[in-house]
Amino acid sequence: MKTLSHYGFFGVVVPEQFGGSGQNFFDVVLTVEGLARADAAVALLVDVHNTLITGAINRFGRRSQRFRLLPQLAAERIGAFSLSEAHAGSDAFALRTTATPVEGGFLLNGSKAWVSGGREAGLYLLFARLAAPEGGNPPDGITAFLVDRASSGLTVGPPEAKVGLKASSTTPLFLKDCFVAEDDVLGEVGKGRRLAMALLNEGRIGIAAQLVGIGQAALDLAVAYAKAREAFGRRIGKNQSVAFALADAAMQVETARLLTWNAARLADQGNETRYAAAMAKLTAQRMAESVTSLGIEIHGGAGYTTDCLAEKLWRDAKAGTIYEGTENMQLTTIAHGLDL
Amino acid sequence: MSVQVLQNPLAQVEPLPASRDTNPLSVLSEDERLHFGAVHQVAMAEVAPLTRRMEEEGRTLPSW
Ligand SMILES: Cc1cc2nc3c(=O)[nH]c(=O)nc-3n(C[C@H](O)[C@H](O)[C@H](O)COP(=O)(O)OP(=O)(O)OC[C@H]3O[C@@H](n4cnc5c(N)ncnc54)[C@H](O)[C@@H]3O)c2cc1C
Repeated sequence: MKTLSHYGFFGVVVPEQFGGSGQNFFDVVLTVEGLARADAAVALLVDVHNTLITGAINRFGRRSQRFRLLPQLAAERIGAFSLSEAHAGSDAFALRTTATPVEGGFLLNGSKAWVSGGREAGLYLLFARLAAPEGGNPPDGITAFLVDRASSGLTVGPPEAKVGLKASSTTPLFLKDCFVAEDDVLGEVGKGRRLAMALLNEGRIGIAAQLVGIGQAALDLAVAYAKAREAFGRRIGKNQSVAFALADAAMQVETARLLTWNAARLADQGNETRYAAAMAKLTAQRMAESVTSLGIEIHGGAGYTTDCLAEKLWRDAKAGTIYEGTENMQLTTIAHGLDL
Repeated sequence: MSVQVLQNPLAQVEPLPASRDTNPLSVLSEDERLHFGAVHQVAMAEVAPLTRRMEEEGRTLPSW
């Protein structure tokens, strides 16, 4: 964590006055791709922190929240994003965690699931639904709360035993009469749904960048191996079928990168990115799955052992087909834009 | 050379600012190139060995 902080990875979009480097979203995308080439779990932490936490507070936070939280988040505190629940992933707004208004704030009750960096984080951006008034119907009332890790009534559950992304945790959160002050509502009470949707567009672009980094790492590794490994008296890369497979993989990586960069640049210019983000994320997840799988095959038997980095890249890439929206959810978004 | 950034056919996209519209999408500005180079160097030299060791030992990053 100290290394990551030392190089400013937690403060990419935090304004300089709060100790960050005041860069734009495109720079976050470059940061995430660069880190993902080395480790996708670290890239994921840095991505969530910058796109969904500091970016969110910067954009939607009150002045007091920016002054209080951004200096910490730029230097010594990680943020995590908590929307999903065990029964509400793709259908995230079916969430059931409640926020009951009390004097000076809200009491949160319920459980959240799948929080990336749940154990490492010091602050959660957590979504809950306003509790129904006595005898009344529940309002939509989804609200975003900035919840301190040290809040009483908040328990971080045990990390999931994941297939990949081993360097960072994914945990549930349990809330039992967890008090959150009015000051810790991000945006307006009851307007959390729109806020989450705006954030997730950028989140998808960030994940696309992570997947591009994984894909590039797998390609680099496979190319290096194809240049070194000999079979039938010559290097395997000299076989046209191997060279073509790698050429196709290079094209897939570049396609995903261009869609990702395009979406990020659109976001920096304040454009609508819903469709561009969905296209970038879906292209990148398909690419990462296919290129990392090819990476294993190019390595032959060695690729199927845990000594070989190719298998780690494959395991890490698979998560990209699930978080920030599955294939079907991206296609649903893109189809919506076709106005069929 | 004037190359337009790929436009999402589904979105209403404003033209890019002058500083960018002379660049093909795949070309980074000097600042972006330096930024990416620095991140990549740190990632490979410091992050990769650390996380590989952590993975072998079954450890995750410390809380913060
Ligand atoms: C490693 C990891 C990290 C995560 N990190 C976070 C995080 O930091 N914060 C957070 O809030 N969440 C996080 N998540 C949760 C993630 O966003 C959800 O797992 C994801 O949205 C899918 O939801 P689900 O698991 O409930 O699957 P479901 O929604 O139950 O989906 C199961 C399958 O059904 C399909 N499906 C569902 N509905 C439809 C439909 N209407 N049409 C067609 N197909 C459909 C899906 O595409 C999928 O294939 C993480 C998940 C993982 C695995």
